[in-house]
Order: sequence, then C-alpha cells, then structure tokens
Amino acid sequence: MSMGVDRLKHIVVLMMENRSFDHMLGSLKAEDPRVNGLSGHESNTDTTNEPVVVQPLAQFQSQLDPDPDHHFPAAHKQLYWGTPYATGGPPNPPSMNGFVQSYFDQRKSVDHSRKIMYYFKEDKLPVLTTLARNYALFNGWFSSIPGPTLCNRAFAHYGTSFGQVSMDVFYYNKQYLSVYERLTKAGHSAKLYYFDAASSSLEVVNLLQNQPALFGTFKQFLEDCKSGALPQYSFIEPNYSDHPADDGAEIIASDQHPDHDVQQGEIFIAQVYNAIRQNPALWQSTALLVVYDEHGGIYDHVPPPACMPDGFTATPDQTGVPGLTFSFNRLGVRVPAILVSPWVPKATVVPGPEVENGRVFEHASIPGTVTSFFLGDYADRSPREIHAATFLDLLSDQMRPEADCPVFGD
Amino acid sequence: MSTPRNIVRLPKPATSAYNPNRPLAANALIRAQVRHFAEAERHLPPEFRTHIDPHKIETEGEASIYIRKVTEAIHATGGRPRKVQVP
Repeated sequence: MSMGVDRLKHIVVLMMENRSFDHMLGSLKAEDPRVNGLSGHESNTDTTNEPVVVQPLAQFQSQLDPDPDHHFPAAHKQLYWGTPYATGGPPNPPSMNGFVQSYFDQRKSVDHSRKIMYYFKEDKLPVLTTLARNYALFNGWFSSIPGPTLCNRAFAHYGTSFGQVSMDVFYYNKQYLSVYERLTKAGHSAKLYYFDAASSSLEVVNLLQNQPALFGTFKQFLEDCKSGALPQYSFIEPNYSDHPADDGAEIIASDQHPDHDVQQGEIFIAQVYNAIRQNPALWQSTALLVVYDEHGGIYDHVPPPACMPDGFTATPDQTGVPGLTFSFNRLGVRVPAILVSPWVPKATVVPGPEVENGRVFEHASIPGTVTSFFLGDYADRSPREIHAATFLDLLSDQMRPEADCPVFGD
Repeated sequence: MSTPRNIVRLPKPATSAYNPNRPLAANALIRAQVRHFAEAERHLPPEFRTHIDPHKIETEGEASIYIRKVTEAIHATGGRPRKVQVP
C-alpha cells in the first residue's frame, strides 16, 4: 500500500453529463502524445458519402441542438454503422463511423449533422484541461453501456443496471445494494449531494424516495468540506436545469448536458476541486474523480472494448434494435475521467486499450474501488463490478508540494 | 494558500446562457427526470402531493418547480421507508 492510500480517508466522485473524451480532451494529444486524443485526421462519413473530419470548432452552447440521440439504438448506429450491424453488434468490433449518420436522423440537415465531430480546443476548457495536465488522465475510461444517462449512472451506484439499457430505470427488488447502502450498513459514512431541490437527484425512484437521509445539497457539500465533516464517500450531481434561486438569482445548469452551457460546468468542477483543495487536511486525505456519465451521442474515435458480461440480457424489445440481444458484454463510448489528489504524480496519463496491457475502466470501477477500499472483500456484487479495474494504485508515496497543485480563481 | 503562479482563471458564461424557458422537448434527461418524479409522487401520502400535472410541463423552469416540490415532499415525509408496488 502506498503512503497516498495509507493517508486516504475520503473518496469524492463528481459525475458530469454527456460529453465524449475526444470532444472535451482530444486536443491534448497535440501537446502530449501519450494522450489518446485526436490527430486531426479522424473522420466519419456523412449521408452524402463525403468524409467529415474532426474540427476544433465546438462551442459552449447553441451548437448541439437538438440534444444528440444517445439511446441504445442511436448509440448502436454510432458504433456499428457500415458494418453488418443489423445482424452483428457486440461482441464484434465497432466501426465508430456512424456518429454523423445518427445525428442526421434528428434534423435531416447534412450541415448540422457534421457538428457532432467538433471538439474543443484545449484553451477553451481551462478547468478540465488543467486537471488533466496536473493529475491522472485516463486514456481508457468508458461508459458502462452504449446508451443513455440513467443506466450508465446505475453502474456508478450499484455496479450494474440490472439489465436496463434505457431511461426507464425502476429497480424494484434489486439484488445488489447500492454502494451507499453497503457502506452505511457497515458503519461507514456516504452521501449523494445533489445541487439543490429544484435540480434534485437522478436517483429519485431508487434511493431518494426510500433513503432521503443519504442525500445532501451542494451547499452542504461546501460546508462539509470547510468544516471537515465530509463523509468517507461522496457522490456529487451537478445542476441539471436553468432555474431561479430562492432570492431570484439566475442559476445556470452546470451539468454540461447539451444544450447547457459548458463554461458553467467548468465553474462547477472548479468549485468542487477548490472546496477540497482549500482545506489542507481534507486535500491531503481525499481522492477526487471527475468523470462523465456517457458520450451524449458525440464522436469519439476509440472503439469500446468487449467486457465481462453482466449476468443480465436485454432482449431486442428492450434494446430497440431489431434482432439484437445485448448481453452487457461491450462497454459504451469513452468519456473524460481524471483522478485528482496531491498524491498523484503530476501529468500522469493512464494508458488505455491503445497499448498492450493498457488498462480499461468503466463506471463499475467506482463502486468497485470504493467498496474494496472501505469494506475489503465484499462478495455480493455484480460480475461487472467484481471484474472492474480499480484506481487507487495511482496514488503514490510522494505528496506534491502546495505550489505544485493549481487553484482556480476569479 | 496558493501562489499567484498556480492560480487558473475561471471562465465566465455569456449572460444569454440562462434560459429557464428552454423547451423540455430539447432535453431528454429532464424529461425522464420529470417522469421519475411523477412515479415517486404516486407513492407520497395524499397531503404531500403537488397537484401539478407533469404532462403539462413544457419548459425547464416549470420542470424545476415540480421537481423541487416533490423533492421537498419526499424529505418532509421523514424518509419513512415505504414499499414500492411492482407495476
């Protein structure tokens, strides 16, 4: 065990919304060839059979409207278009050539469909790229399912989606406990912090209505960081909607879900980071994971790898793809993920599937890591979680000095 | 705590970024969230229900009002474990 793990008392996970790795961080390859980002030559074919090359033209808002489809059938097309996907699909390798085709389906505009290939230049996202440059960037963190938000977020809470590939996630009679329930039953502390009551949680049916004591607001998170009262495990949800505050102030959504403002999400990530960073005792004893739930229909060039089947099966009726039964045996599209701690060596890049013996992570890695760290051996977990890679080995024996760790300011 | 050298300046969103009148049809996530809150509300005691028809919610701002009321009602019921009926 490293000194960093030995000193670890808190794990915090911030899960943002709907952006792919290449869209947010692909430009970093130009300054650091270890980053498995974009060369600038990656392309998809549009509906006129013309190649559409990636371009650094992503905007903070008003570009990806309507919200790009990323439900299972659309994600399946994005991954397998141009292959015999009607009869193929997992475990066959994806082409990653259907993103433009899929986005065309929504507005029937060739010009608009090409915008799904746009990515941010690194200087447009100073918060995310600063964290990526200063801490540990994962080249191979994938969403758990080629599908939408709720089934992917379920993997972060339960290590499985209980066979769901959609937004209709009602986990009646669930056979595995959430990571929060596991911890609190064993006498540990855990909390889900949602932004405020008007944004609330995406875990309403499963956890909030049954166990509201597990929940807090973002304001409480900030207070808990300041007072040293942070639980051992915290999961933070961003603000999902534009809405007025109690005093009438305008609160902008910070989840970065298209078509919400990406810069407000940058500010939110910085607030979470600063809250931990500015309490010296907390900073030295906390690992913060910033990760996105899924790709939101936006292009990424890395084919998601095959994975351990989850013991569940989604029928063609459930996948929405005629003839396709899904055995949860392939991961979803790659997403940004960064592990932050003063015990992480500066500018760590965790190799992914681009190299032999590279490491593959997914959202089941979250309860997998948290449960193993706080509870040790814990058998009653999904096959995916049991086999998921854990990430605390990235904490070293050497704590970085104060001046070596950035702070975000106005 | 920090030296001027390691301070990174935060971005500022445009003033036009705020739009609570954004149609709910533009965001599949909030649409699903409203649906889930309607499901949760069904299990609240009658005196805690909002009497808002979730099918009539058309904007992000209206959705946030509904979600807030149901969230506060869930907390107001004291977090008593309640059995959810399998449909």
